[in-house]
Amino acid sequence: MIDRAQLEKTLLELLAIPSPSGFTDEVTQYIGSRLQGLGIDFDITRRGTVRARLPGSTPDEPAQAVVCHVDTIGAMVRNLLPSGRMLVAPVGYWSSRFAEGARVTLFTAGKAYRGTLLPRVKWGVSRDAGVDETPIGWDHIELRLDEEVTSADQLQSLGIEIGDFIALDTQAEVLPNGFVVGRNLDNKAGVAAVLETIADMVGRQQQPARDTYFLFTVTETVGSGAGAAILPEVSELVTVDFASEPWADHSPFKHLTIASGDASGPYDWHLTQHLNELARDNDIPFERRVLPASHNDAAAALAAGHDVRTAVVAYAADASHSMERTHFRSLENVSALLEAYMLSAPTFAHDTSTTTVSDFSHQIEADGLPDTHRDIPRPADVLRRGG
Amino acid sequence: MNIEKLPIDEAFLHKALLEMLAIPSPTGFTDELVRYVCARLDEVGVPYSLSRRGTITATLTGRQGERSRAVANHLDTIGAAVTGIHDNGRLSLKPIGTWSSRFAEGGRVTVFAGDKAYRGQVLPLLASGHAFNERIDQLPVGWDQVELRINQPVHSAEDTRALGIGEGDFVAFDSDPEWDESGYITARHLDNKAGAAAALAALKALVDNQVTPAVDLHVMFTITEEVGTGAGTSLEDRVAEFVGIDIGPVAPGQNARETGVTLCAQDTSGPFDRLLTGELRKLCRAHDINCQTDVFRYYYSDANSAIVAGHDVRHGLVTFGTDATHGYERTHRDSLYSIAALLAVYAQAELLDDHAIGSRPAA
Repeated sequence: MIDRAQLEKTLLELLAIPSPSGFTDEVTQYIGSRLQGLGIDFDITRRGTVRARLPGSTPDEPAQAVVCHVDTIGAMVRNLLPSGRMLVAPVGYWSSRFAEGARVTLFTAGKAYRGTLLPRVKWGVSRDAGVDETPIGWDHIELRLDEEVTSADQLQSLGIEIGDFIALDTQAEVLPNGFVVGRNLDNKAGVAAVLETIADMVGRQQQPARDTYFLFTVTETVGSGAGAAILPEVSELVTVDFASEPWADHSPFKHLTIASGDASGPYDWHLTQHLNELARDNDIPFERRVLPASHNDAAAALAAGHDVRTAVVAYAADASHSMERTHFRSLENVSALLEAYMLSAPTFAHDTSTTTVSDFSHQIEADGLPDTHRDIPRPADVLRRGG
Repeated sequence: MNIEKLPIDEAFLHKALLEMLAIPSPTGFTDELVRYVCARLDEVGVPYSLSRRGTITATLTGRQGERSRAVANHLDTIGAAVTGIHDNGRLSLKPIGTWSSRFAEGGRVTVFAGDKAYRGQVLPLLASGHAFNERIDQLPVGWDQVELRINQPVHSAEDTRALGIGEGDFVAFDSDPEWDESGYITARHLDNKAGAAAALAALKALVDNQVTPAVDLHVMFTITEEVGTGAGTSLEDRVAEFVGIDIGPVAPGQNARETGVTLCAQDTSGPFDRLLTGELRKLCRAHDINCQTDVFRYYYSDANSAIVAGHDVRHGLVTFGTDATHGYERTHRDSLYSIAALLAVYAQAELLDDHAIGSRPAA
């Protein structure tokens, strides 16, 4: 069981590091230093995906991977306005509705500036009328910098250029009842849970059943996260990510979700069943869900051509890509499931390589198929018989 | 080397197609169909390998093997997944693959829940004329406007959950095939079981006639085309040409036909390799196989997934023209025999030069 105080500390540290997709070096550095502190082997790809490895007790078995993304949504300067304000483009897929009012840091080559994202209100006769009539959309948002600037030239003399990254303040809030609220919980809450799971395994000198890779990916929010970092011996890929609670559904705040599929299609049926059984056997409260509007590292791995089984374990959360909220119990449940998974046998031992048809799996029990009794009379036969 | 047009075993193709249509295989739930195709390859006598998740690569050794060619067919079909249970005990659905719920309405289905299977039917939320009259006409089309009525005595979400049904369960639609004397074949999931049956028939023609392909020929049966990733995996570096076999939309404004071969010059992912498409057209003409060319505007296939996964192959797309694709599909046996005949001819043709960028295909 991971330590709540340590989980909270790690999460708040991760939230403090700006890391919109494309601007993730510092969070990669943080993950690296944490893994070094734990004495874990890892390497870093060119662009910054961290790949850590916990050696398993039975190295002949196919390897498994746990994936979480460290990048978040954010924004980028796309135009310097004559007023000294800036138009911005979203980084990642999110509504400008949730950007309004956000406090941000703008990073130029050498400096950082503070500011706020605001609607571009066309002030009418009545101020209120203009506010209500301004549509929602990134064309209707501007960045107001907390500097004495009233022209594009002045912005340029501050060193600001098109393409500069904008990171949103997370305004994290931790409540005594276990709720945690803030931006960018997606997916830093997942990363914190994974890091603390590793720390817990190392602290208890608990070895996974087979070689386990932990991938901390840097471009999930823009769709290509896990594509480049999966080794051929990895047969299973469990993604830890954020899942919005369905409206008015039965999903409690503290559960976790084992998703069966998302916008990219179904995940691997066998691995998903395996995780369902592990959760049941270990009394971990969970919901089975389909996430029709989500996309994550599992899809990126398959698009890049890896023949891996994929599954997604998600913590319960609300209002994704906006005013996000989750609960520490849900993160602890994710961690408990990951630990159970790491100690479990592979879904299929023969997954080390290509397989034979005799080893290959089944999904349908032939005897279990309902008899449809569709051997109905043929019209021609009935007519010939005369009824 | 002389290229020979081979006779196609029509009875074999007919049986294989109808049997494949009988096996449920929405994307992600393809294990049983994979096993079936392996058994057919065993029967024909073609060696194959099987990836972890079930992509089959059958290989016929050619006169040369330094470079090779691949032909890809997908075995997975559209279908649906359970996303929730309504208060009335019926199921809400999300499509697997991209298709309109309009064509799901009325579909007879099997729901696979754990080790149990249940029968049911997909209906619009307002399904009774006597109860809702003209409101039915005003109900929009969309996946949140349909529900699955399960043929079990359930009246609440609890009743349905007690059957073991829950979120993520797979829903497979009945194919309801009809293949009559006219030669037309009407069924769901002709996409792409008809293509896979034609590819099996082409392999059988090559083996039965003891014809050695010009280069190693890989015939792939992929399992995740409908969600866009089918052929990304399992492709060897020596593959120089990659031809997808798939469905072609017959509709007003399209040039695809239900007979002959319909070559796709361009789809949503962009143009296919011009030389390879030209070569396929030449082979059709030289061997008396009817052929037309078309552009598919709202269409992706395995040829694209191979390119996206980073393979630098010449790619082409050969299709059987089908009316009402991803809906009430209909094609004609002539298009399947034509595709099988073209594949058997293509297997005997030399590969294009890797650097033949200057030559010009026949008009």
